[in-house]
This record gives sequence, structure tokens and C-alpha cells, in this order.
Amino acid sequence: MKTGEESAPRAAASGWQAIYARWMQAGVWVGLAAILASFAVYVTGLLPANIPPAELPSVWSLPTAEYIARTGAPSGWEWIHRLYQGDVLNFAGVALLCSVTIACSVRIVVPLLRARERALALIVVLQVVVMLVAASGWLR
Amino acid sequence: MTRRCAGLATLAGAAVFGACALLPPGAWAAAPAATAGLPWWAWPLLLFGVSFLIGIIAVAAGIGGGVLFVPIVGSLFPFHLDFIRGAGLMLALCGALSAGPRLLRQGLAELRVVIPLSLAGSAASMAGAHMGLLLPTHMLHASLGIIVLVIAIVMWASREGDTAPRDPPDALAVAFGMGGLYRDPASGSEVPWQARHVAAGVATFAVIGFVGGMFGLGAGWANVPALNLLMGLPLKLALGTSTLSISAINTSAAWVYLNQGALLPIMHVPAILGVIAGARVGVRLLKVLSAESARWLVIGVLFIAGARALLQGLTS
Repeated sequence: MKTGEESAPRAAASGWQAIYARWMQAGVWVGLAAILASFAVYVTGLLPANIPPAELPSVWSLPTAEYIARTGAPSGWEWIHRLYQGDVLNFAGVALLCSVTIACSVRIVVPLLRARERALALIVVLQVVVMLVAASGWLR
Repeated sequence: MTRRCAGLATLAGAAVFGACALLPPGAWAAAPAATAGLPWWAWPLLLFGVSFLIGIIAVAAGIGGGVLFVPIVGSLFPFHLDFIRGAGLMLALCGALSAGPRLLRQGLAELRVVIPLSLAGSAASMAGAHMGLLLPTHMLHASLGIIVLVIAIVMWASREGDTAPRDPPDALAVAFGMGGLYRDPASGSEVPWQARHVAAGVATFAVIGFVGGMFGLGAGWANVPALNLLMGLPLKLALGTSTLSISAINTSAAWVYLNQGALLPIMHVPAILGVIAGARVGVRLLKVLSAESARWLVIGVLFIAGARALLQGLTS
């Protein structure tokens, strides 16, 4: 437990919060660049697509399950085996962006323990577990 | 001249949304001829344009774009609500991730507050996303309409305060070190703060996370009042902390949408770019457009979009 005095004034981010900010900054740049590059590959047709953009209007009003059944679009982690397809390649950029918070959280566990913030470190570990469960598709 | 341009841009935005509101619910979506009549590339361009307007208004009103994106695009575009919600989540996630590092460096967001709240929020948003993808479309439209109308009422009724906390320090807040001093970049003054009602805040964030995951909405509309009014964070710190929490909470829901294949790049990329570009214009508009005017514009748009979504759900 911290006392009221221990929780008193702090300035802008320092220590583990600054590490979190640095990792987030790097991750978001990589993720956004990947999303833009893969989108450019898709719309310019540099790689063959599972569903070419011109065919999308006939299926984009379908619910996801029907859309996947009709088009053979990937679900779960299937996309990782089909990165040679322009549209599926876009999933990699999304996955990178979705991994930024996980990476930042993992990165601050040790600094938190070093700072004797055991309760916060435990919550961060639990948070990582929740995000990994979501990422795994285990509950699908 | 700038003031006139800003006024015209705002009026144009209001006019576009107003004109759209006059269309019967699902007008474009329910008309295959309209979909077939436009080339495929026109849709991402239209989506970019609408997202651009959303970005302008959202920044001026101090909310995230997701809460406007899903109901507006859901009632005007032919895409299925599954993909629209996926794009809405990605939009909110990208915005939060982009802003997060700067907010942390400037001391305008507090990770100590974000961590416990986002644990509850992200578990709930994962559950909400699963639930949302299981519901039939007409039920989703109807419940989205109800939620958006509730959000509009909450925004209408809520008045943020910026006073120092009066209650004694919360035991959990002290345990997690949720207090301190933040420097207001506008005035340069240092503002002491101390969180309170942490357990109630965690429960509130779980509810907000569930709704956000289910409907792909950003959560700023609810996070900020929860952090400011319930937990006693100063308003600017609440705004930054809310944004940072979205990056953690939306991650879980976004993974669910990705795993279910509920993402279309032709949607989320133009939407992300449109909102980012609109936000840049919106920041300039802040000088000439009062936050109160923007807030009323958002409330009006939410009422219209919510009513349309509800009608769409009830009539389909």
C-alpha cells in the first residue's frame, strides 16, 4: 500500500510510463505504415487478391459468417498463411496495430516490479492475458 | 476569411448530415441499384469524405470519431454493420494509439489510472464484441439506435466540472498511487488531483467497454464523464486518460473482429485516413467554432443517426 504522501505530486511521464510511451510511439508508426503499404498493394493489384476490390460491392452487405462462406475470406489466424494475397496482407497491418498495447504492457512489467509497483504489475500481467486470449481466437 | 471558411465548412458538414438524415433509413443500403450504379472506388472515396467531416466535428466537440462513425455510416452506406463496427473500432484504436505517446509525455494522461480501468474494460469489450457478432442484424440496428440515443441524452445532460476533488482520498486510489500534480499546458499552472471511487470507476469502465466492443463505438463520450465527474480527475487529465484507455480497451475487441474476419480494408483504411485528415482541420476550426456549438451539432447528429438506426432495426 502506498501512503497519501507517496502518491503525491508527479510531473509528466517518467520511468515506466515513459518506456510505455516510447514503445507505443514506435509501434503505432510501424502499424500505420504497414496498413497504408498493404492497402496500396491491394488497390493497385500488385498482389493477386482473394476478393478483388471490384467484386466487393456484391458481398460487403453480407453478415460476416455469410461473407466468409461465400468468398473464402480468412477467419481466425488463417490470414497468416495467405499473406501472398493483397487483401489478406492488410490483416497483418491490423494485427501489428492490435499488438502495440500488448507489447507496451509486456515491456513495463519488469520496470514496474523494479519500482515495487507489484499490484500494478500484476494487473498489467492480467491485462496481457486478457488481450492474448482475445488475440488467440480461443473463445471464437 | 478564415472565420468565413470555417463557418462554411461547418455549415457544409451540418448540411450534408442533415440531407442524409432526410433519406429513408437504409436508403442506399437497401437499394442494390444504387450500389451497382457506383463504381467500387467511389465508395471508399465517399467513406473518406464522410469520415473527414466526422473528424472535423469530433475534434471540435472533443469526442472520439467512433461514436459518430458507426451510426452515420451504418445508416447511409451499403456495408454490413459487422464491417462498420470493425472499422469503427480500428478508427478509435488508431486515434488513441496516435495520441497516446504525446499525452503521456506531456503528463496529460495517467497510466496508473488507465491500467486497472482498462483491465475491466478490455475483458468486457472482448465479451461485447463476441456478443455483438452473434446478434441478428435487425436486432443490432435497433439496439445500436437505442444506445446512440442514450449517448445523445447523456451528452445533452452531462456538464463536466473542473474543480478539485472534495471527497477524501479513496483507499484503492492511494494503493495504486492515483494522485499527484499535472501541469496545465494552456495556463502553465499546476493542478493537484486525487482519484476517488475507483471501484465504481472500474465497474463503469466494464459497462462502457462492453457497449464499445459490441457496437464498435469509441468510448470518450462516457469515459470522460466517468473519469471527471465520478473519479474526480481534472477535465484535461480525464480527456487524455480516456484516450489512452481506449487504446487498451479497444485492442481486445479489435482482435475479436480480426479473428472473426469482420474487417474490410476498403473500409477501415479510408475511414482512418479521413478522420485523421478531418481532425487536423478540426483543430484549426477550434479557434473559430465554439466547443458548445460543436457539441450541439454532435448531439443533433446522434439523435438523427440513432433514430434512423432504431427505425432501420424495427422495420427490417
